[in-house]
Amino acid sequence: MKILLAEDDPSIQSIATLALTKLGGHKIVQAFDGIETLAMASKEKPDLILLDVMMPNLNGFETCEQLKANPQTKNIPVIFLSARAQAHEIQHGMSIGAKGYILKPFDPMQLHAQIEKVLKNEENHFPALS
Amino acid sequence: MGFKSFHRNESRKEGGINGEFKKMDALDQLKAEYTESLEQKRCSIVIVVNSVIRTINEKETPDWSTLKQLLHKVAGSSGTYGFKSLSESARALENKTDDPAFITQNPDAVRDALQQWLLRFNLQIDEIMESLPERKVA
Repeated sequence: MKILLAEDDPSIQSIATLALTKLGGHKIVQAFDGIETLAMASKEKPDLILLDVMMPNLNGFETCEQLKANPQTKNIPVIFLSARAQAHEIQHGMSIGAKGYILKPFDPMQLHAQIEKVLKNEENHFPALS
Repeated sequence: MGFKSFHRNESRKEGGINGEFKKMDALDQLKAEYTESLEQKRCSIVIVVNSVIRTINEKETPDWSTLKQLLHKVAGSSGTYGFKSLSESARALENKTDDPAFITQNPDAVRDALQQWLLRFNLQIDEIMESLPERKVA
């Protein structure tokens, strides 16, 4: 599976990329802000977008809304990978078309399995690591 | 569950390298790099917290948003790399920067709370740094 990982923190980019390539066998393409995410989504046609909320230029919610408004990208599943953990923020993320919500901090060794569960509609919300 | 936890067998002291973690050299290397980067993150946060305190002393409105952004990143990344206490500590102050009851209270109380938080934060980073093998005193 080709995954577009949209995250502005390089340390999270590194560990999520490593976990998803080594453990999940996925191909990762990276974006570091919302505008780059929109461009990469159209260009790369990923099978999934993992989307941070607090990103520069265009935040994750705004990015998700634009992805869902674009016929080219509207059918790509979006999972928020975010530390924005308040209930109304999670509800908002789901209401604008996200398929799931994985909260930071996350366990990199579990990330692939959590994504699988979201895509299989078995679970759509994973709380932060505690 | 087919996947083993990255953090499940973390040694009692934060920053310890557990057995499962050792199985993945690349993850091991990433964690070491992240741990080294904590000094830089500490410097940034100390500078911004001290700037907030200075602004409070000058009876002006502090730049809470910069502090919030820094804390947000540290909370998310440090927990993901296994530094749970540091993550919780950063998250706790991040949440306060959003809380009108905290930021509009008596300036002396805000300054005291920030200084206390900074003290704890520095101790937590010191403890993590001491766990780095090359920094241990023989």
